[in-house]
Amino acid sequence: MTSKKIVIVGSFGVGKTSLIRRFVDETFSEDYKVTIGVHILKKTVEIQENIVNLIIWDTEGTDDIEEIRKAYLLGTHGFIYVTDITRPKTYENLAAHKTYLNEQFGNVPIIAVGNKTDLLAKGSIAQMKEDMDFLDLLISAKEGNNVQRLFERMAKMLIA
Amino acid sequence: MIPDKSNKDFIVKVQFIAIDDQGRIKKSDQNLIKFTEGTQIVDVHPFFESLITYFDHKSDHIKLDCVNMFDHSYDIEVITHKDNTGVIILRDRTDFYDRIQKIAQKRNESLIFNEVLELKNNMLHEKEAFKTKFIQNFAHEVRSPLTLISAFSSLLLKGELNLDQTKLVEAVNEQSDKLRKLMDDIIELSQLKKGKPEIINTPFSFLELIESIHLNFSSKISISSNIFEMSVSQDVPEFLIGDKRRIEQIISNLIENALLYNSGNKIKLEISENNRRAGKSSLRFVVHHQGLVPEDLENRHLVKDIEKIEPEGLSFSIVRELVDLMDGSISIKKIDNNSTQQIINIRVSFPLHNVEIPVKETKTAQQYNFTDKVRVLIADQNSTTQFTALKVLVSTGNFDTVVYKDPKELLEAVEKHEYDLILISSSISQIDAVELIGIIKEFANDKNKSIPIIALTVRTSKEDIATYRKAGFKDVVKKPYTDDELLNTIYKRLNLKKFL
Repeated sequence: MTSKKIVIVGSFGVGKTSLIRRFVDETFSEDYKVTIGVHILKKTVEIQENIVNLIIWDTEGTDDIEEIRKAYLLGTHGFIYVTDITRPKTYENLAAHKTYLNEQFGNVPIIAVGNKTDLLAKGSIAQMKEDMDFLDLLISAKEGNNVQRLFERMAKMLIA
Repeated sequence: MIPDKSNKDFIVKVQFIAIDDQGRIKKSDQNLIKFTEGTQIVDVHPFFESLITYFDHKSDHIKLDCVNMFDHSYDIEVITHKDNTGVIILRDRTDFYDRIQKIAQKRNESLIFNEVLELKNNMLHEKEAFKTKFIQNFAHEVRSPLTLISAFSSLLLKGELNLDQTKLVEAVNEQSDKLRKLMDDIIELSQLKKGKPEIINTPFSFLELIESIHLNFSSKISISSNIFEMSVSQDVPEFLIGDKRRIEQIISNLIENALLYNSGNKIKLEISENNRRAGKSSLRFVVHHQGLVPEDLENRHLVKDIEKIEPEGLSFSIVRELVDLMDGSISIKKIDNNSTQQIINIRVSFPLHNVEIPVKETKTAQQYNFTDKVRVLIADQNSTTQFTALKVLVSTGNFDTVVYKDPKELLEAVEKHEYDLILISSSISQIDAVELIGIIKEFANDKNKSIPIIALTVRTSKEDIATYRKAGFKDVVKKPYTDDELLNTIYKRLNLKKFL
């Protein structure tokens, strides 16, 4: 069994906490509660006969990734960068932030996701996927779409 | 200074936990969290499980602020010794971070709210711009066939037709006029809603204006066996300085609106003066009709989206916008449950001295028999409007016309041949009329450089006309035009003596 530290980053209000709650507890709340500091949760997954403990760090949201306390990010095995597809401000600096993370923390895997696909009109996800090809995955913490797949993809990258 | 012990932030509870070289809890003072000695620290909380990654980075002293565990927020220090033992220090700062959380909650909610509002606003602007563009394009497309219908039906009525044919053509003519009015209303309202209204204040004869309104509506209303009455109080100023077209529009639209909802046989317009102050006359217009108007009519102007205004509300919405523009007031009064009054008060300047009013242009074009034909070049790529202009001119027998729809051929023509007049539509082969006139002036022979050039266009705002004039156009004819409107403008701009 191996443990991997995954840090969830992204702007405030994009649904980082909701994403983790959906993955770990399979719950969702419409209420928005600002995260201060860091919450750490854990979930064990089995990937290709490997048992992996995912230790997930839920950081407080910020528009500037350099504002995150560096101590939280040390020793991270993988980052999940969460954006809100309905708020362009949350993904306009994605490229620069990915560069920063790579420069500061080595070549750790980064998966960029667009959350809140549940707010899109039915049938428009395929178009959104094309428009937002800079994102690796479109997810919905509310409906659970692609959440499991996201963490499994990260776990696979980490044990590869 | 002695610290205030009542301040919770000052009293920070601390817990020390000693860890042995196997990662087990060796000792804890249990001040904050109850730990069982001998337990693996990694089993207590996932936070401790991930601590191991820190020591991979060869750190022997780590500080982490605001780590949330067991519903509390801790500042944590981890110190490791060379013999692999270590100490973990927890400081409970829950009260402090709770306060920070509340502030951040308010701030973030407000930021997100503003962000979403800005997005919605941008979307609305985009939607509005699209709608305006759509209306403009639509108007442009509709005006060409409408020009043909208006001009040709008017031409036909001047010819020899039997009674049945006259009635049919009159019906076509009347409907095309209605369509023109509807188109103008839609564009007018879209311009007013866009906030680009123009008020052109010039002196005009107010009494003449209301006489003409009376004449117009008397004949119109009499067709349906109804009566149109008008009473004008004697103190109303004879002349005003204001936007004649807008004032006429207000009065006409009110009457049109009354006509729409009238269930009786009479419509009455009352005009009176409330008072005169500081060179301005406060005028009161009351239109009476039998029957009621929809209850929401008065508030339809509040509808921001023009597409949500019902067609029968257009006239009233325009009146409302215009009255607002003139700082006036408007109201609808229900009388006796079966009749309605539309009441408007506006303040308009009046001249303190005698004024010179420009001579009124006649609507119907004068009939001429030229001895020499006028050589006209028509530059238009739209076959409908091209055909309309051609037919209107040919019908008089006074014009020799030639049509070009290719800019290259047009330029060759103005270089080689001589003309007396050029008519240019808004654009030809993507070349704008303003751009085109510049090229014509450059390539034309000396004779053609001095002849009048008239624009036939749908773009007739004050700014557009100024642009056309500046570019060198002698006049602008608004599409859709009637045969009389086109001929009147041409005759006004030609040196008629030369051809008579």
